[in-house]
Amino acid sequence: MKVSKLRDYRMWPNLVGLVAGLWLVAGPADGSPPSIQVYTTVLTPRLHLVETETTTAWRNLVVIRQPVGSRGEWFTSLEYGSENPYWQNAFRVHQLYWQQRSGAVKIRLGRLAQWDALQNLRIDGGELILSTRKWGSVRLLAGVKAVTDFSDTAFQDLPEWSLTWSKGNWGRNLEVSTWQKSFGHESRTFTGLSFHGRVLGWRWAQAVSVDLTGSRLHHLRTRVSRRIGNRDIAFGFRQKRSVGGEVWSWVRDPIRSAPTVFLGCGRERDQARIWQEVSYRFQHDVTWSWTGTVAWRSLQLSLVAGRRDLSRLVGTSLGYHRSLGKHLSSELTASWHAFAYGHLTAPSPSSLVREQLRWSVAPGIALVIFGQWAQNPYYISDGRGGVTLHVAL
Amino acid sequence: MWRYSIGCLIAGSLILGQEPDRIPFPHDLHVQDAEIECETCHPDASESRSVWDQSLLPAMETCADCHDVEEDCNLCHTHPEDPRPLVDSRPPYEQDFSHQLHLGQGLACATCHDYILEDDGSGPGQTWRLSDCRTCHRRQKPGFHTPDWSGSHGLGMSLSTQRRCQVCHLPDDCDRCHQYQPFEPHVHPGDYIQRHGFEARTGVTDCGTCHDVEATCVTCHRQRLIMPLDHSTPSWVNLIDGDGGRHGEAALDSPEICQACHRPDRDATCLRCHEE
Repeated sequence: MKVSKLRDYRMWPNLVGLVAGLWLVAGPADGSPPSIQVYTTVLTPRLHLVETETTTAWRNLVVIRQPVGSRGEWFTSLEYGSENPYWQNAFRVHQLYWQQRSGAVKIRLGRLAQWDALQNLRIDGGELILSTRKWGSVRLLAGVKAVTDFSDTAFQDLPEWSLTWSKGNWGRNLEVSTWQKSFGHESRTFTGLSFHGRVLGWRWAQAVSVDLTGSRLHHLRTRVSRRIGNRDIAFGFRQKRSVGGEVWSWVRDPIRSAPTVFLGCGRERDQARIWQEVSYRFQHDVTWSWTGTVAWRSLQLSLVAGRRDLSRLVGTSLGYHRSLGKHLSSELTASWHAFAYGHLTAPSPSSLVREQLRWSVAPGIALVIFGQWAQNPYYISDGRGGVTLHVAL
Repeated sequence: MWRYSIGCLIAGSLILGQEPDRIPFPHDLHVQDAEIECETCHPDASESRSVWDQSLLPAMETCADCHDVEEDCNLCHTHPEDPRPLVDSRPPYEQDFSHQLHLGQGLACATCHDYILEDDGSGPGQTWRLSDCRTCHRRQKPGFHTPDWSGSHGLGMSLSTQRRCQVCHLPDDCDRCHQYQPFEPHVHPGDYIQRHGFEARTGVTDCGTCHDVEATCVTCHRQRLIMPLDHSTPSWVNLIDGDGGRHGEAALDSPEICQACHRPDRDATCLRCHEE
């Protein structure tokens, strides 16, 4: 069967039916109980902030994890809901794969999502991982770019793959990877290295990748941190070249994609956490920002301020969580920002209030009622509300 | 396609429908009624550092201490004509577990394995659930979950660390914040739209970790013809002073941000005003 056939939208319901059927057969036959989570959400009058017409957005998200035997597993994350600016088709498949372990080998087949410090891939294909205690792990991931809502089946099927070697754990690890990723109608190949470990008492986290297709630096991130008692200090550097458009030929220094340095410090004491961070970006203009966060028990306050030449931003956000008895809990978010674009214009304020009430109706069943109101210069006003039913079996 | 699907279903039923030999072990009878200590059958558990250690499960010789395993096969095996070794309920996914670490901190076996006190052996034999881990670890987060963890965790993600993450996190936990965003605004909550442009240009956060221009900025700014707010300010072009205003500097600083809307070819964008 050709790959392009597999990506035909009309074929997918059949394949999903096949998977569901196998799950229904395999689960009871093996006797292993599945883990099923269902989220049903209805939201009105708009989902996307720039929508102008009144609509009712809804979705059903079903996440099933079905162990089969002691080494196999189905995992599916399917969504069916209204078409909206984020998803053009009603049927969305986020993940759907079969996983089989055998000793040091793990195989996954289907729609796979890969989140990593170096690359984020979501493909229709397969993954092979070979793990050894002495030599680390090797992963080969290959397939074609996954289109979650099957909306973009017109463009060519561009292969995506990655070959990765990694060794270590959270305390110290090293990873080297080469991968190919698709952007629209174009594929680019990258190679990169990430490192996480302690050097001279400082914890270093480093990720660097190079765009082999364009022969240029793609992404560089460094974070150096240290915990001294109950205090944390961190500083670092980040720079990334976005992909998706060619840099204008007349740009004087095409490798310079706004590098940023940052310095942060924090403190943790009892039930309180404080973190603040200053960033400075090397541009023509004076560009800096400061963020501060204070979390105490179930209360969190965030502050942000920044300046880019004549543009200035200040803002704050308050979050609060409170249990109202054994079955009820409430979450409140309130935020306010003001953005000024120079001396000649007045600052543009924005504000938002969001309230959420969660009611645990029964073990494994929860009802979430939420509503928010926002004002923003991008639109006149935005009010929305909805309800989510969460069932976990 | 349907014939193919039905064929696979039938084949799957035939293959998986045959129940193999099991050893339905009644923990309630041994632990509750007979009051046998856990260490009697699992003597090496306190030294085990991985859930994959074979020594966690008792061998048939252990049963032979009390039972006649040579004669009375039906006592344990459901299909003694085709006996198979004891298969436990260890997870097929990535979680690992150090009994040594947890028992060394004073936890009792029943803290995690309280189900087995009522396990009569008729069920699938699952002796723990992932939710048990979360009972403690939702509050007792690992030490490397620093105060700025939400902003820095991505940098430590690698193939070799995923197993550790999945002790507490499910396979779609990344998606829960990063993929299901439209209905569950975890990553960009509140009136984030007000500050997103400023953050993109000042580097408050590393947008590029997840976003690419083609997939993100273009969706609104080109397809929906939404102009950034600062484009409408007097200093953006600044024809009065004749220095070009801030747009030239922005184009030099972050040309890729400009290209979210403006076509990369120079003729269509720049030469409209800058003929030479």
